[in-house]
Amino acid sequence: MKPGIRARLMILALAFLVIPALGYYSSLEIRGFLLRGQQSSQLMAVQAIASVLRERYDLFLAHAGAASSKEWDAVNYIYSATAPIKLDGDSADWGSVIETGKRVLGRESLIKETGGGFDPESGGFDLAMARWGERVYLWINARDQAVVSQAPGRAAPEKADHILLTLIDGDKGQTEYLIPVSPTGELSFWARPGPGEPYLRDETLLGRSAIGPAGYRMEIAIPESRIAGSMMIKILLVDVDDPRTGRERYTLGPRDDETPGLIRLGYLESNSIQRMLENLELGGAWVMVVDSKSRVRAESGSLPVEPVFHHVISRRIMSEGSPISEIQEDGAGGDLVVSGAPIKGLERDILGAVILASSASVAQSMQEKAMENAIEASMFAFIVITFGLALFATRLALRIHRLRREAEGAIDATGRVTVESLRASRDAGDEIGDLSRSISQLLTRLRRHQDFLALLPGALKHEINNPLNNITVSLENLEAHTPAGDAHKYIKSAGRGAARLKELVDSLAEAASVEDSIQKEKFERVCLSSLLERYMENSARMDARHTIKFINLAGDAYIEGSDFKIEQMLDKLMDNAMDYCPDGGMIEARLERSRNGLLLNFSNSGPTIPDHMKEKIFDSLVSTREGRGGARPHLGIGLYIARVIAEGHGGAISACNLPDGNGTMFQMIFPENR
Amino acid sequence: MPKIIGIVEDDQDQLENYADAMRRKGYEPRQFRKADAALKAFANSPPDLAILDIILGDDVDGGFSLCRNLLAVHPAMPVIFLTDRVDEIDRISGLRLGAWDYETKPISLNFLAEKVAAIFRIMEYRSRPPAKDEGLIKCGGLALNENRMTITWKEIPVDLTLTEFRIVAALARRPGDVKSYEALMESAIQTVVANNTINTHIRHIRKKFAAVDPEFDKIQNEYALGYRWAED
Repeated sequence: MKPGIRARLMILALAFLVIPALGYYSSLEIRGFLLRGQQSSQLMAVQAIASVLRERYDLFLAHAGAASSKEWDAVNYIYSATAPIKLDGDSADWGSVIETGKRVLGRESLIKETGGGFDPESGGFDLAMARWGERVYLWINARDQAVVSQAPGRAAPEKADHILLTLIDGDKGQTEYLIPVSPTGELSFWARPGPGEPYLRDETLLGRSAIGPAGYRMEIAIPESRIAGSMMIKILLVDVDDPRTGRERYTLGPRDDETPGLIRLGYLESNSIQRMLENLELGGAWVMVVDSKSRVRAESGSLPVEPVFHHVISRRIMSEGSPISEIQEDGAGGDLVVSGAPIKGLERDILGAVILASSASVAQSMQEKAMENAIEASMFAFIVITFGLALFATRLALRIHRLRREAEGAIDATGRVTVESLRASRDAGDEIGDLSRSISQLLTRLRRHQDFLALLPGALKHEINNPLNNITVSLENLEAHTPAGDAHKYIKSAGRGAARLKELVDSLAEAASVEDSIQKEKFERVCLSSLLERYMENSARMDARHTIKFINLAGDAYIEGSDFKIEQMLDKLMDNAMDYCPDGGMIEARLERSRNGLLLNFSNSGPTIPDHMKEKIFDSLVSTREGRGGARPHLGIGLYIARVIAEGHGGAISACNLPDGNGTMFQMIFPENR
Repeated sequence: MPKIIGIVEDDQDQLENYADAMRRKGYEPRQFRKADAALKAFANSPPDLAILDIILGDDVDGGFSLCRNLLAVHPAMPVIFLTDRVDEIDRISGLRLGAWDYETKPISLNFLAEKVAAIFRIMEYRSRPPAKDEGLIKCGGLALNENRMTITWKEIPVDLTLTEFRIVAALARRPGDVKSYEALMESAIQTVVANNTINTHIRHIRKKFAAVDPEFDKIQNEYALGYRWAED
């Protein structure tokens, strides 16, 4: 079966699902557009930052007195603290200095190993420097499984784990301080005037230490003036494993120079840059300023994923010397827009680079939002339109169904027009309304034709009766005036012809009026079983050629009807049976009760009815007879009348052949009147 | 002196045929094709019996009005309608006007003549003083004088047409016996008609008896055969 209107419209409605697809493509466009916008605004930002920093090229220079630029690599930066540093052995007040500026010294820093082996896993130290006010602070985090602190009293300080710090005061010469790990936390500083001389307490420096399970930490404050002259210090860590003998296990220190422990210092003015970056208020963006060696000078903002690409980017910026912008995956499923611009010095030399990265999440979220909107809108549209279409289609289907039902009901089972004007969609202005009106017109015309056909036999009878009467009476007169002889034979013959004509016209008129007459009939309670019994008994009495019998299985059975009409119906059935039943054959009526009413089977032996005739046999002017040419005309009206009477009694009639193939059976069903 | 029979029929051929037949039977026919001419002639010299067609030329009810006018002047004049109008309503209208019978075409001239003769015979009997027990059938509540065509049911007269009267007479003559449709047709002086025509007459008869006695159920249908008058 092909899909109905509703199903077809529903399939069509699926076309609306193309909207999300279109939405997806347009969201891709939006995303591209947004990303391009983000890139260009980022480029503008980084170029602006780069221009500002260009004006402050001095910030990129090492502190005055620092080594020349070829030695930059060896400079140890002194960071600017963001808050005052307390000497308490705790690193909390150092802010991010330790994290970003610490120097980790491990195996490669091993200078001397005397006692047992140095274990790089548990040994080594971190060094960080910061400035606050007029002081430079040192932060040392030594890893030591067995800390040996200075024994109480005035024990030799060199017999504890200690730091050797040498301040080089330029032309004033240098002072080496021995700083043992203090058991109390209060650091003591020991200096000796010359090599080999004993250590004496020196009170010019301040510091504190703290011992933990993994080692010790020291915070040391040095007046800035003590290092400003040379911008160099020497620092060594000496690990002692026996407080009694003072035996040294190893010595660690930076090896930047030929002199072990010597490091060059430089002030890192990044704070200015940092502050500047922070003042920019770049929202969710991450900004980094690197120097020409790709060292981070300032960083602001954060990204969900650690930016590991800035080296690559900064090198590219500095080698190309021009701004770049690209989109990278952030490694967490999202995208990053990364832009960078070189910072150029006064001589167009490249001082560093500004790198700015921000998540493409805005574009992404915009895309998702756009997509979401498209899907939501299209689903809404889909649902609304589908619902509308379903409603429309249902209404349409319903209207067509109603029209069809009414149109079907307008013509009854016998093909008679019962309704001339359809009510369904009668006043509708659309095509279905047109269809309804067309069908009504059609029915009206059909009805007129039907009425004409119904009136025809009556009119014909009326018109024929006069000339027929004329013939009949003329023949009688002719017969009276003609002497007996051959002529009488012809006169009789003509008379028979006229009589037959009369019968014919009567039959036609009877058929035409039977429906009308049964409607006018006053119905009463009729005992069908006794009527049948009398009828069959009387028929049997008059007819010796056939075996006529009645079998009553229903007992006393009543119907609402007219005995005249039932008799007329039985006459027609009996006539039909007599015509077909061979001599000695059987004609039988059988009455029984069925679920649907009283069942009357009227059967006779004889020829069967061809299958294709079983329905048509009850139509007017249909006969299966092939010119048997009896005394009576066969117009195929008898069974038609039988059907009209059966139906007029609320019953039905059908024809079939006997199972043994030796006859036919007419089956009638009547509603019982109990 | 031959009986005068007025015949009104707009078809010349049929008119001639009826007239010839009547003449042959010894009557004196007066032929008319129009109602007004007939009425005028009959006013002066009324016929002994009138045979009227209903449709007279353009006047579809010409026979009816003619009958009404004739009977207004000559109430005793027997009238027979002979028409091609077979509808029940016409039959009833005609009989209500006071016609003795209503015959539909085509008719047998012999039967027509027989009916005319029967009517004259009845008229003849009616004009004489009643003789004792002449042609009288008594059967239960029924009293029927065949000669005078009078019938009473439980002492109340029942007004029947000639055909109806003859059917009742045929049935009542042998109560309990079945009269076949054919026999009834013969008695009623009818050409071969469908059983249905007899049924229609029976229906009218029952209705007329029921009018005087709602309990009337003497005429019983012997389905497939005919009718019988139930014995008491």
